[in-house]
Amino acid sequence: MKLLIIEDEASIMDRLCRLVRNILGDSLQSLETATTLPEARKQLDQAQFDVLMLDLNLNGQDGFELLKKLSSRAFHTIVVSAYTQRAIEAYDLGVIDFIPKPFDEERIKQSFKRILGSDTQRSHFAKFLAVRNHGRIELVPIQDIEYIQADGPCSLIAQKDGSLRSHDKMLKDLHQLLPPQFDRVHKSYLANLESISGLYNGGNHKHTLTFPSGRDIPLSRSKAKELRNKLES
Amino acid sequence: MRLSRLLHLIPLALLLVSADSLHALDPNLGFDRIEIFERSPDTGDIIPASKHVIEHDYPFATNLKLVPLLPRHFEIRLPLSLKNDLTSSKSDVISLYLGATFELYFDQQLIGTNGILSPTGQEIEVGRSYNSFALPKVDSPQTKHTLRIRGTHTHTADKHNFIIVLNSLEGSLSATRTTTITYCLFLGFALFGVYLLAYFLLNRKLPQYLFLGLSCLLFSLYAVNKLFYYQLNVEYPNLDTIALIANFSNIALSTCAPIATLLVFGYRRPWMFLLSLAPLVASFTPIPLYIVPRTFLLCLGISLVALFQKRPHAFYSTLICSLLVASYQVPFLVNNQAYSFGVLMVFFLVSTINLLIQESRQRNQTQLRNARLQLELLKSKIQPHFVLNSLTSAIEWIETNPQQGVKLIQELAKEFDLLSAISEQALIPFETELESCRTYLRIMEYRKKARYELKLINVNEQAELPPAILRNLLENALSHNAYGQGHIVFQLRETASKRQRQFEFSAPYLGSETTPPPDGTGIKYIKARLAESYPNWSFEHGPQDTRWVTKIQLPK
Repeated sequence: MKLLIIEDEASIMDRLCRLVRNILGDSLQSLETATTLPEARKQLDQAQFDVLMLDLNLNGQDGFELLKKLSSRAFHTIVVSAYTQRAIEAYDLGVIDFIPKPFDEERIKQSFKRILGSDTQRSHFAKFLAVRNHGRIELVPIQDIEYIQADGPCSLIAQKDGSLRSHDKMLKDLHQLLPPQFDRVHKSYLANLESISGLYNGGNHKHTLTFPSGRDIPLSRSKAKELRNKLES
Repeated sequence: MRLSRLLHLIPLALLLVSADSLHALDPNLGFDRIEIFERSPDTGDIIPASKHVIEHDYPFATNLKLVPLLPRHFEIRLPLSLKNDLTSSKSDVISLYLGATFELYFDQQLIGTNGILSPTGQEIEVGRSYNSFALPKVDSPQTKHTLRIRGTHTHTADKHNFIIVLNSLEGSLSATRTTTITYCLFLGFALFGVYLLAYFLLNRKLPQYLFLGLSCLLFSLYAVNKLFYYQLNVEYPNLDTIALIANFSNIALSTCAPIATLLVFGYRRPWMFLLSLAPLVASFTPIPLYIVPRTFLLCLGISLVALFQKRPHAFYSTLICSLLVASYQVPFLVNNQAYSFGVLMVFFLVSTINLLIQESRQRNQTQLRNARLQLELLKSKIQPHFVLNSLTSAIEWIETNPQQGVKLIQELAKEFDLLSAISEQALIPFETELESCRTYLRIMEYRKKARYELKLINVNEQAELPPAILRNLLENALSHNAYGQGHIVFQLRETASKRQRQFEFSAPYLGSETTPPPDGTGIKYIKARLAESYPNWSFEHGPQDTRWVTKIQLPK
C-alpha cells in the first residue's frame, strides 16, 4: 500500500506515521508526508497513492474544497480531523472513513480494514461522487446514477441523462463508498438497483438489467437469481 | 439635561418680551357695555322695553352665549368711546363671530352686511359665521359713537357663543398671524401624535404611547376644530356640524388624555381608569369649566399625585398640565394661546429627543448584548479544535515519551484552568493574559515540535485588557503560517501616549498576500471583545516586510 499523510502538526504527524507503520507493517510500500497544501499538491502530482490521510484544518484553511477535488482521484481518502461535526458532510462527498481526533491504533486499524474489504460495516455512505469535467469538479448525486462500469483502472459512471463520465477510482473502491442499493451485479458492473427498469432473461443464460435511459448491462447468473428473488418478494 | 434646561428658558423669555409690545396694537375705540334689544318681527323696529344691558370690563372684546341672550330678531348696541390718544391715524376693525344674518351700522351709516335682511328684518339670504368690517376713522376725541348690529338668527339650541372684537388693523393682522402660527403648532402636535402612534405600533408593549399619541392627535383635532369654528367662514347654520365634530373629539380627548396620563405613570388598576369618565360626567353638572380644560385639570391632578409619589416623569407632566390648564384660565394666556402651545411644543421636542436618546441607548445595549453572544458563540467554536488536537498530541507524547507527555498534560490543565477563569470577565490584568499565552506557546511547542519565543517591549503587565486578544493573535499566526519545526519569535510592543495605548504585535509571515483577508473567527473575537469594553478603538493588520503586523489602539 502506498500512503500519503497530510497533517500540519508535527506530533500528530509522527503519531499517524508510527501507528500506520505498526498496523500495515510490510504491506506498507511507501509512506510520504506533507505539512502544507503546496507540498501535498507536489506529492500528488509526482506519485501514485492508494490511500490519503488528510487533516481538514490545514493552516487554518477549510479543507472541504480540497476534499471535493481529492475524492475524485483514484485513491481512497481518510479524513483525520478535530471537526467532528462535519463528519457527515465528508462522508457525503465520498471519503472512505472519518477518524475523529484523538485517535488510537485500534481506530486506524478499523479504517484500513474497511479499505481492505474485511470490514464491511458502514453506516455512512457517499451522497455524491466527484468527477472531473474539463478541469472543474462536478458533484454527481448518486440517485442520478444508473450504473457504473469498469474501465481499466478507472470507472465510467452512467447517469440517467444518458451521459457517461469517467472516474479515477476502480469499481471495487467506488463500491466501498456507495450505499447498499449499489450492487456488484457483474465483475465489470455496479448497478443502482433503485434505477433499474427491468430484468431480462435472455436465451443462453444471458441476463440483462435494463435502465430508463435505454441502456442495459449484463448480469452474472448468480446475481440474476438473487435479484429475481429479491424483486419478487 | 443642560440643553433641555436652556430650551425651557427660551419660551419664558419670549413671553416676557412680548408682554410689553401688546398694548401698541389696541384699537382707538372701545365699549363699556352691551345693550341688547328684541325687534318686532313685523316692523323690524326695536322694542324698547326689551332692553338688556350687560356691563363689561374689557373694552375691546366680548364673548357671550348666543341663544339665551339674543332673541330671534335682535339688535345689539355698543356705545363707543375713545380709549387711546388719537396720536396716529390708524383705523379700527370690528370682527364679528356672530352666527346670524345682520346689518352693521356705525351711528346712522350702514358699514356692512352679513347676508341679506328684508326691510322688516326678515332673513332673505343666510349670513356667514365670521365677518370683519373697517370702522370709519374718528376725527375728534369728543364725539360719541354707537355701533348697531341689527339681525336675525335661527338657532334654537344653546350651542354657540357670539364674539365681538374691536381691534386696530395691525392688531387684527397680528391676531391672524398668531392664529396661523397656532395652526402650525397644532400641526406639530398632530405630527408628534402620529410619531407616538407609530412608536406604539412598532413596540406594542407600551400602551401609554397609544394613548399619548391619540391624545395628541385628538387635541390637535379639537384645537383645529376650534380654530376652524372661528376661522372658517361658512353659512352660520353649518356651525352646528362643526360643533358636533368638535364635541366628539372633545369627548374622545376627555377620556384619552387621562388614560394616557395614568399609563405614563404606571397606574394600572381598573378603577383608576374610571376617572377618565369624570370630565364627561361633569358636563352634566353645574361645574362651569368646559370639557377640555376640565380634562387638563384632571390630568394635572393625576400628575400631582404622581409627583407626591415620586414617580418618574411626574415633574414634567405636572408642568405640561399646569401650562395647559393655565392656557385656558389665565386671561393673558387665553388671549395668546400660541405662546403656551409654543412652550408645550418645546417640551414635546425635548421629550422626543429624550426618547430618541433612550432608544439609541437601548439599541447600543442590544448591540452590546449581541456582541456578547457572538463572543460566547465564537468561544465555543474555537475551543474544541484546540482541545482535541492537544489531546491527540498528548496521547502521542505519553506513548512515546511519557515524562514529556505528563508535562504536556500539566500545561494543558493549567491552560484550561486559566481559560475558564478569565473568559467570564471583560477585562483582566495583562500579566494573567501573558501567563495564558506563555502556557499556550509551550503546548504548541509540544504539538508542533518547534521553539516559540514571545518578546515583550515596554509592555505594562499591570494594566487591564480584554482576555485572549494576544492569544488569538498568536493562534492566528501559528495556524496560518507553516512555521515547521524551527525557532519562531513573536513580538509585542506597547507605546503609550497621553490618552491612548497602542499595541503592535508581529509574527513572521510566510505568505504572499499584500492585503489582509476577510476577518476570520479569531479577528472577529478580538473586535467583539474590544467593542464590549471600549467606546472607541482601532484594529488594523497587514504584511510588513517578512512579518505580519497587527496594531491595536485603545483609550487609556
